[in-house]
Amino acid sequence: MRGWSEILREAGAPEPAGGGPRAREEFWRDFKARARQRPQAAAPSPTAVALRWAAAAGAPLAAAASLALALRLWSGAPAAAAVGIESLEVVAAHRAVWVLSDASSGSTIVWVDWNEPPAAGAAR
Amino acid sequence: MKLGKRLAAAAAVWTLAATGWAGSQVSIRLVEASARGAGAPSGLSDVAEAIGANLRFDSYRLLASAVVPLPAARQTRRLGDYEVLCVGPQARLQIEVQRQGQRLLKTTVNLQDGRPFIVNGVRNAAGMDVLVFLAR
Repeated sequence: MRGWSEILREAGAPEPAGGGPRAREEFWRDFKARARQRPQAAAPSPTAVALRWAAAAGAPLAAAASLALALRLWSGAPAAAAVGIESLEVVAAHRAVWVLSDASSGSTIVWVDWNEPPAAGAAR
Repeated sequence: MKLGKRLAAAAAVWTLAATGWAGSQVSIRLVEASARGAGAPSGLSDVAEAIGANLRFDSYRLLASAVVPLPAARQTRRLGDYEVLCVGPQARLQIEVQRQGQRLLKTTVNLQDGRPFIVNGVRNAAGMDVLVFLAR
């Protein structure tokens, strides 16, 4: 690629006052000298890259966990809710069925009085 | 960065699932409740309070135990004479109890972590069979 000075020289144009555009080599030499005077950004280290990825993945993770916790709290459901029975079908022959819920232990008991000889114990 | 966003989205979904529907397995224990003897043996310490406070027996003996991962995909476990079939997630777990091929009961429950679900079986020589379900 021809420089501006060469083009002017070939065209027979008079040298502009003040020296005109500088030669290519001179321009780049000055450019590099100026560039050396300013600190250049170094390529990120692998550790930094890994940390950035972890942060990118961790932020939504934390947000999602917070959202889930908030939904749980706002739902009004007690944290120590007992087992919920959605349906119950006692298939075998029986006389009675009791469903007990113990608030202290959070346990739920299904007690069936089967058609069989009396048991040694029973639900309280 | 597309991969990063996808990973983050997957992690978020996983977190929601893990925190909203916690509990990765349900343990099933067959317990012999008896009017003879006293105390609860090892293997029942985490449910001893619930059993002792609600059932009128003097002693409890662990006969068999099994674990079903949740959500359960038609998992059948044999515990002594009993067969327990579990289907579905922890919040809507279908449980079917059979004894020697005879269906006893079928229920759908919303198990809570650390909260026992107790179903009595039939009478045995010493007292009563009891099935204890506990999600963790």
